[in-house]
Amino acid sequence: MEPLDETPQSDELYQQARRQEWRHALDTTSDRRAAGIPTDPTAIAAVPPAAPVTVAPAVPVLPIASQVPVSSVRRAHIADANDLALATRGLRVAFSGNEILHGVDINAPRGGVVALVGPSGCGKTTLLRSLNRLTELAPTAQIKGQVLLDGNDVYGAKVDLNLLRRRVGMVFQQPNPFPMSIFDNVAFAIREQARKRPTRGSLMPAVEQALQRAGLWDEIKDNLDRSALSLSGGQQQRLCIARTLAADPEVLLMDEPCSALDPRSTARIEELIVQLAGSLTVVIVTHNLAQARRIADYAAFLLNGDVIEQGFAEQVFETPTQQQTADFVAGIFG
Amino acid sequence: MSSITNVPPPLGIRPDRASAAKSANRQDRIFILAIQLVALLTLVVIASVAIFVFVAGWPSFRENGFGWFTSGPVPLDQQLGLSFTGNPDGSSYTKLNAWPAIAGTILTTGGALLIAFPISLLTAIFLAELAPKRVADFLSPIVTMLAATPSVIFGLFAILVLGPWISEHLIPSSVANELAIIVPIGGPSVLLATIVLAVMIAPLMTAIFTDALRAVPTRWKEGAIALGCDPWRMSRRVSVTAIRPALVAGASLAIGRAVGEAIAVSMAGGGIAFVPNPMDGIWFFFQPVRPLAATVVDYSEGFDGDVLRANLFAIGVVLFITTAALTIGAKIASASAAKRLGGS
Amino acid sequence: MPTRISDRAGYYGAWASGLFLTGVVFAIVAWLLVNGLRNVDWTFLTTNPAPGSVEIGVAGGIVAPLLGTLIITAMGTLIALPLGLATAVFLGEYGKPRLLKQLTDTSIDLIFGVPSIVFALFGLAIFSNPSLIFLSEEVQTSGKATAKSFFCASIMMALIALPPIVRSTQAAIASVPNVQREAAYALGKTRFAMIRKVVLPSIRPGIATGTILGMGRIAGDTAIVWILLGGAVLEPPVAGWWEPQNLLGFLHGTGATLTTYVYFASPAGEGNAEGKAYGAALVLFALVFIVNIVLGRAGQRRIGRQ
Repeated sequence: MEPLDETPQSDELYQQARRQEWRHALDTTSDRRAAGIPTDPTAIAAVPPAAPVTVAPAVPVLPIASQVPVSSVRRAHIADANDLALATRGLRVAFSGNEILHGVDINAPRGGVVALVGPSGCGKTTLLRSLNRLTELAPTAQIKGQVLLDGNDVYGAKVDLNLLRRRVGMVFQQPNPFPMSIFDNVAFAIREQARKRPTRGSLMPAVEQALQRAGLWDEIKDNLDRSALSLSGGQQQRLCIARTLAADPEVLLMDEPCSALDPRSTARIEELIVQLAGSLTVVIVTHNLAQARRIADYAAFLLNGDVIEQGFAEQVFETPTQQQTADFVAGIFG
Repeated sequence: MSSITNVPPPLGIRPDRASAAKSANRQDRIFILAIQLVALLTLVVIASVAIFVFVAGWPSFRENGFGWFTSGPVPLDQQLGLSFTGNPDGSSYTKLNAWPAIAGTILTTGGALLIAFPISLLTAIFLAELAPKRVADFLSPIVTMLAATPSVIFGLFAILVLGPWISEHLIPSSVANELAIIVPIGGPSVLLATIVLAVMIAPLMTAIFTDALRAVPTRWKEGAIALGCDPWRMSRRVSVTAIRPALVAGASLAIGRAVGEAIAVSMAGGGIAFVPNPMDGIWFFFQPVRPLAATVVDYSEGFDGDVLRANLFAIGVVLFITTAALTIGAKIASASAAKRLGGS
Repeated sequence: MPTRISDRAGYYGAWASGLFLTGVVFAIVAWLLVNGLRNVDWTFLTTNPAPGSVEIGVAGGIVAPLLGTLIITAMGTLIALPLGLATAVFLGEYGKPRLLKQLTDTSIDLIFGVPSIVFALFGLAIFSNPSLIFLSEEVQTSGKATAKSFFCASIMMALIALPPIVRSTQAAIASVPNVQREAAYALGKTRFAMIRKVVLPSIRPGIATGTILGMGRIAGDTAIVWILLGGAVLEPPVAGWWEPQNLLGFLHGTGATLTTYVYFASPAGEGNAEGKAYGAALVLFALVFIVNIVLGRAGQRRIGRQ
């Protein structure tokens, strides 16, 4: 076990520093403006995001076939491995009294791609779904511990759930575009945020931007009114990414986003994840070790509801300190 | 299913078992023939319904042509009475202008749908998405109970409770007296019939909508929630969009039920084939109606008279065609719903 | 909590609607109980209806209508059950030729969608045919049949009970895993034996659910009874109707059920005896309610099995 930040104390300080503004930002919509989160769609279009929108030039697009550990190259765009966008502390999740996660501490440095790996049933999907509080949709779920977004507990008392889920977006295993047009899918989150019903014209820049970021714009820009269900599986998944990006999230959770896709679409999405890193933090669950090697800056290995090892991806994959990790990476189980 | 449609032939039958196998095969053939015949029977029945009712009602259409569907100079009730007794000179009276009954059906059914549809959709959203599981589990059978309640009980409630209340509290006697020259107004009225129908079709639609909402794939619901929708927004933006065909199907079936309801409407409608006049302002709602189905029940004593019989069967034809069309419409809509939900 | 006004309206509207429909049920039940119990006593349940005074057209109790409801429900169900089962097995297990399957499927939907008043008319049209006099009685003047009897009403009632039986059974058949069928075929069983030994035992709860739903539809229907059994509410069944020599004659004759009794005794009918209508309505509602409780139990058992 090798936490990314040296001491828990620094974590503590970090939290304290951020807590005030976070609470402020979550509570009311009017305060969101102060926190720099656009409240109407035109603002999304007008205010350039802090991070580069299109392909981050600092990040080279890597050949997918490359099996060389590349995370060291890419780590350049992460300013500080101790600047945590998202972290869990002592997270315990149980369903009907049956504990799935036994006190998990995970660190997701800002702008990085964090891969959660482990054999099936190890709790990685539950962990991911606890980060944006989807776990509690199951009535039998019991959750203890903390999930810290910018150092503030998302399970706190006055958290605005809907705002949280816009800040922490999620892409699911099965592509799940809604049964409506492509445009309506992408505009969905923006319309949700708007107080008055925005016109199509005012939505268009934001929709285009989201589709650009998801690398889908060129393929479908002439067919925005087609049913989203008519797209191919890979396109549907990228549409779902675009739909999530339209809400302008800080963190993107991905639950085995490629497991239902063919290799070509998988490659396309992996490329996209690498491009998106930097402008936001990606936490991705994958059972595909090769994929984790290709895209992850950081990795955490889970086994039976415990984090066995976490740290820089290349270190976890190439020089694991724990025997179980070594066995898993070597393909002995999983 | 394909695996069971082709029975593998028994392999390696020993000679001494061949006759047993043969008789088993014959048993199977007879069995299949029997169930095919029963299936055919349902088809024959529904076709016979169409044919027999149409044949019996045809004289009424033949005599009146398109005029059957319009309004005429002689009030409908008088026409139906004359068609039973015949003209004073002994000749038979064949005229029928059924518009008042048609209008009654349209008004009561339309009104009931207008009231019941939003209530049903909201209740369905409540039961499927908003209510805590224990509340939903408690309320669902109660709504089912409402659907199973015999219509005559709704009719009784209308005529004994709501009707008297309306005539006592909502209709000033001065107005009643004034309008009595044209038509008696009172508790049993287009409004009451509409309310009764609304209460009858609401649980039917609620059940269909609730089932459809529960069948919306979880991945869509989670997708919406992960984008920052609360359960209400999720229902409204995603679930209701997804079940649009089921909304059409449920509404069609409900309209069919309302159009075909005879007894409760006969009890609550006021028993006069009158077309409520919107010019009378608010009193429009308290004027009597007798929709198509209620007319058949109200005149059911007169099936001995050939002309009246043909007239009532003609009403049956209109009811059959309307409800059959609605049923087919609902079927097409639910097929498209299945495709939509099954797709992707 | 939704922030937008329209969302808030919808959110609270959904709660209000759900509670409103529940309130309607409770209101009706309370109203029936309060007014019905006042009029239900042992005499009411054990005497026949009798002609009343000039103002109030019906006196006595509800033995005959209660009996009528039970007989019609039993006979209708008895006719519908084998037909419904066979149709469901055809649709769910065989389904060839395809055209017949599609047409049968649509027929069941139509039988569900077409109102019972149309079936009542249909019954009147066919059962009055002189060749079907054996189902009712002869009209002396015309030589036609009256088309009003327990037989005639029960046959049409079987029709309206058919769709729930078919659909419920079909759903149960669809949930039988194919593996079980294949295992039976692998043992060399014929299709008939497979259905009897493998499918039928596991779909019994589905059949029960459908049958109970169908019984509820029969017991609650008024139009068919009114037209095919007659509005003769005051006519008591002959004494000793259950004896073999009288039974056939009884079933060939007209009668009443609780629904037509309520209609007749309400201000809309000729009986005009509120109290009697309340009493009969309560008994009718109680019957349907009990049937529904049974249905709920059956449903739970089925879920418990899965």
